[in-house]
Amino acid sequence: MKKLFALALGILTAIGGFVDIGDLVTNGLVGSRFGLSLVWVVVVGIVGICVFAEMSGRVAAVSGRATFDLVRERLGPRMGLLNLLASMAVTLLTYAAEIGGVALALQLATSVNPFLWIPVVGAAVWVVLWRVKFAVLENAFGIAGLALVVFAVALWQLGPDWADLWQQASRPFVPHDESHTTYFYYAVALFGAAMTPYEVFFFSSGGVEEHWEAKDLGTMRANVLIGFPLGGMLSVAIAGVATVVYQPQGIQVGTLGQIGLPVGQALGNLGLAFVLLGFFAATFGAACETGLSVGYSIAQYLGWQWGKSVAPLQAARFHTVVLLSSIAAVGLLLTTADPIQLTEYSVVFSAVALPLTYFPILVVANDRTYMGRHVNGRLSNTLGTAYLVVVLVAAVAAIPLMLVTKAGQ
Amino acid sequence: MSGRARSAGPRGICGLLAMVVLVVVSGCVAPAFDSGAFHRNAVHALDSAVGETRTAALVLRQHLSGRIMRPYADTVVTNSEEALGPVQASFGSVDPPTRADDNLRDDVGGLLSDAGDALAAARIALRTHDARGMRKSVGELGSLADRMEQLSERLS
Amino acid sequence: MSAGARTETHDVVLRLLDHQLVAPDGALLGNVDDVELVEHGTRWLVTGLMVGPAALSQRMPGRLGDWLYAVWRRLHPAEHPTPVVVPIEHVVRFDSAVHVDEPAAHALTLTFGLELWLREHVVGRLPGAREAGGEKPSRRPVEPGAEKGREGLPPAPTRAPLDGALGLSALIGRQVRDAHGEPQGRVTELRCAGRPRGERQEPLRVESVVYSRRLLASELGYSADRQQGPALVRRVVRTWQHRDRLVDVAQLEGLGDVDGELRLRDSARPRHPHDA
Repeated sequence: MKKLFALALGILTAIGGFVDIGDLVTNGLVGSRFGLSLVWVVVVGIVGICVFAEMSGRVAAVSGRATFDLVRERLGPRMGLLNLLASMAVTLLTYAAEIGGVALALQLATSVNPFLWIPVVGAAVWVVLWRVKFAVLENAFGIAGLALVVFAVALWQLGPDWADLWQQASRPFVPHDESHTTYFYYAVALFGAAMTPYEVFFFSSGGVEEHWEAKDLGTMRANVLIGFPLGGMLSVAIAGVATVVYQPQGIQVGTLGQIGLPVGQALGNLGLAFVLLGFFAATFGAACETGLSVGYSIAQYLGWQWGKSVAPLQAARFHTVVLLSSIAAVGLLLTTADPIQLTEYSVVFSAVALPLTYFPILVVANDRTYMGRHVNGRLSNTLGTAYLVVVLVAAVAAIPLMLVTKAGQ
Repeated sequence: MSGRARSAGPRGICGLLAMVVLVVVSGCVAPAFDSGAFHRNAVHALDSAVGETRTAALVLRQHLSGRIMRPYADTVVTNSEEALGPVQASFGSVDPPTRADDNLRDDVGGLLSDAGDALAAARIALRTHDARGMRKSVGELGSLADRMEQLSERLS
Repeated sequence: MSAGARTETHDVVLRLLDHQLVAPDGALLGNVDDVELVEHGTRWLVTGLMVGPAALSQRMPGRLGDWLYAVWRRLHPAEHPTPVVVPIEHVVRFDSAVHVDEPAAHALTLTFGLELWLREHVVGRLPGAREAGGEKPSRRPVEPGAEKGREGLPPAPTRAPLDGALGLSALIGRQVRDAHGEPQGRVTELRCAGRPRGERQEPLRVESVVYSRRLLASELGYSADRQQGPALVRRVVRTWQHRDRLVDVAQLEGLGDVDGELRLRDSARPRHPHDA
């Protein structure tokens, strides 16, 4: 019974924790401009993150080593350092975007200027990272993030033409007023939003924090293979309501307020309250994950003691990195950078940085001295190799597409 | 281990940075070399303005029917107003390439500035709890959006 | 694993270098930043693991490495600081991490200057730092005598590099030429053998040297395990590395020089690592 509860909790957390500011913004924007014609990318991204997270979770459980431990040992300190710098630049950008997202959610609830919220939110995130236990942090925001299910309810309530939506999703085409390059630029952005590298840094490091072992592989797989796809359904629902409400009116979604507005239209203030709770939980939870990921990754590269399962004084360097990265993220936002724009860049650069960590994990998941009988099987390797190609193509295409489309204009 | 990545490393990162800067800069500047580019600029500005005015109209309607609470509605309308500013500024900063485009510049500029006024009026009505003003704004924003859309369709 | 009498072979770049050092209680103690090699008669032995910024700086490119080394020297309390070496006898076992014994763990924690400074001056001053935040109790303070060892067993848990010792990183990347002076590739890996004796790892003997014309991807592990998947990557890496060669260490001259090239003897019979 207790085991079942733990399993359910893990899955619910994975669903609620799946969506972050990147998914919210990108899905809302794409829904309003391209309808559901890019849903296939979300599906590709979800399967991808399942493959990647399952591999890295398995490696973490069996070998006890998290992502950047392995990156350094397989790529050496120089390549590893370049890898670390690129991955941390993207993660820090995402961290700033998440903090900005929390501030925007609070603005929607209070109409107080987000720049007044940003330092408060940054401090609050850091306090949570400093004081709150890992399990509490993960579960509380994951469960609260489930409030975003309200997008699915709203989609149903809006009574769309389901046949038309299905048509868009199943027979993708480029809308007549959009170019092919913009279409594929947003395909890369959606892919990066679904497969953000920090998710895997956090997932594998979290596994080590929670002392996963080979016997926990079943639970881990259930979390990933059930939780992530259901979480991904929320992404589709967000794109769905934007499609139904905004696409016919020619409105391009560019703010968090616009993303939640259709829910208010469908369900009134109660629905809106769920939206605000969901926005807050999703962005705050992801802010915690990205902030920790910066600390985890740098500490792992250098071999430092890291983690929240040890007393803070035993991991002074780790906690210092987390503190400094929080300050840096707030500083970046206070240059009056627009959090939505930061988000749009962060998802694209996520796609660029993804192969840097994907490839070493794929290799180590095949190392028989580490993995023993838990080494990648045929299915993992078939999918793993297919996604290696996908991830490389997306990474190579991202920046040229960004240049050609002037970042999607 | 030694010797590897020495060539790819720093230069690669510099290149990447340069590209990022290029993207950000190119996103801001949209020079009009010819009439076609000017028309595309106009269409782009009009389409953005249509989105903002329609959003504001939508949120006002929902607020009037009691479905969207005030802080949320206020934020959405304010965001729309703020988003229109740069659109206006970037269109206004480009000179028409030919004399024939002068009229177009005036038309689009006029519509954009009307949209800005309508959004400001909507925000004020919302903040002063002025239901009649809000209803009036809904109508105004809607008809402005229609006119901008028509012009945009004629141009593209 | 059998009771320990069997000789095990290890590819030290793949299995030791850059791996996490772990204490018996699971505490993380830094990475193996370099590996100490010592010439002993006609043999080369792996005698210790080098840990810390001094060792790591030697492996960083150009200015970054110099800068890291200068910062480390400047901030180090000792007048003539030396890199920290954990003698290999203090290694209990290695798998995905390198596990060291308790004395070495204690001694290593004392060498982490940055950690100790931040603990005292930054993190220790934050509100709530001293309340138990984690599951594990704090590491006990080390008795002052523990870091100094005497002659004989067990050796000091940490020490300065031995005289005439060579870092593994100084060997990696060195050019190998055949008897006629033709370049054959650069050193990528040392294959070593050793017998774990109870709780202590005896020094590993360097058996053979792998060299490659392509350094990229040499650490992924495909030359150690010919079956390692996935098939596509295996095929690409194998093509990439098809001219890799493994040669008995006795067939190489010039290993002891600090710089310079290695030369194959006339009698050398290099093979592909998979055919060894």
